[in-house]
Amino acid sequence: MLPLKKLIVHTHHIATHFTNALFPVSAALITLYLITDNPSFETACYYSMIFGLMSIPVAYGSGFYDWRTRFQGRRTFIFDNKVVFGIIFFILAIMVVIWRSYDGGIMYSIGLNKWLYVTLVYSLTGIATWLGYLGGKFI
Amino acid sequence: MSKEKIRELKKKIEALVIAIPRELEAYEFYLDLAEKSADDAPSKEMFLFLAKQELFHRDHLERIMNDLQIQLEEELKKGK
Repeated sequence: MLPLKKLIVHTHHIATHFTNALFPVSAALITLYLITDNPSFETACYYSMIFGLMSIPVAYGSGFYDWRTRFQGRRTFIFDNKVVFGIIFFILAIMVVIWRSYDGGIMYSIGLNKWLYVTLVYSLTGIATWLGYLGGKFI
Repeated sequence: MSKEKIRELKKKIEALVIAIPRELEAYEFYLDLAEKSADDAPSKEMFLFLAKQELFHRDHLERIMNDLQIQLEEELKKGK
């Protein structure tokens, strides 16, 4: 049996992989919808983002614990960046999921909102990639 | 105040912040192997030696980091 400290560190690595996988998958699915017009891809994108969003609190909570224990809560460029972009990422992810939950037809409309929604989905992939890159520096 | 020096110090400190926990992980790794080699005295001795080395590395890195932190604080004070 792993000690709690190690277990939480492993939890962080696992949870961040969920987040870092599901949001790029969402971007890929929305791209497929734009190419094919198949609504299944749009729906799948929405559900993928929901599961990605659900893993964020686990990833952040375990990451915070890891930072406080293994790295003794030290402030550096990497940690500061992870915190700032992590907060931006979380806020954007909540916004996108709530938006899509309230307006299920957003991708079927023909206005600026549709493209703003798509941009947000793509930007989440960009931020997830940056966060993953920073996290990779510890491995 | 040299911005270049401050940036350099911060980079060094960051590298050590990442390196120190690795030394501790290596220590735990060797200690675990030493426990698993209980019935093999030479192996156990070797792993315990390596574990001690990792603790020595960690202490050494912490000393260097503390020195760098002091240098950084001094550089930052000069700028005020």
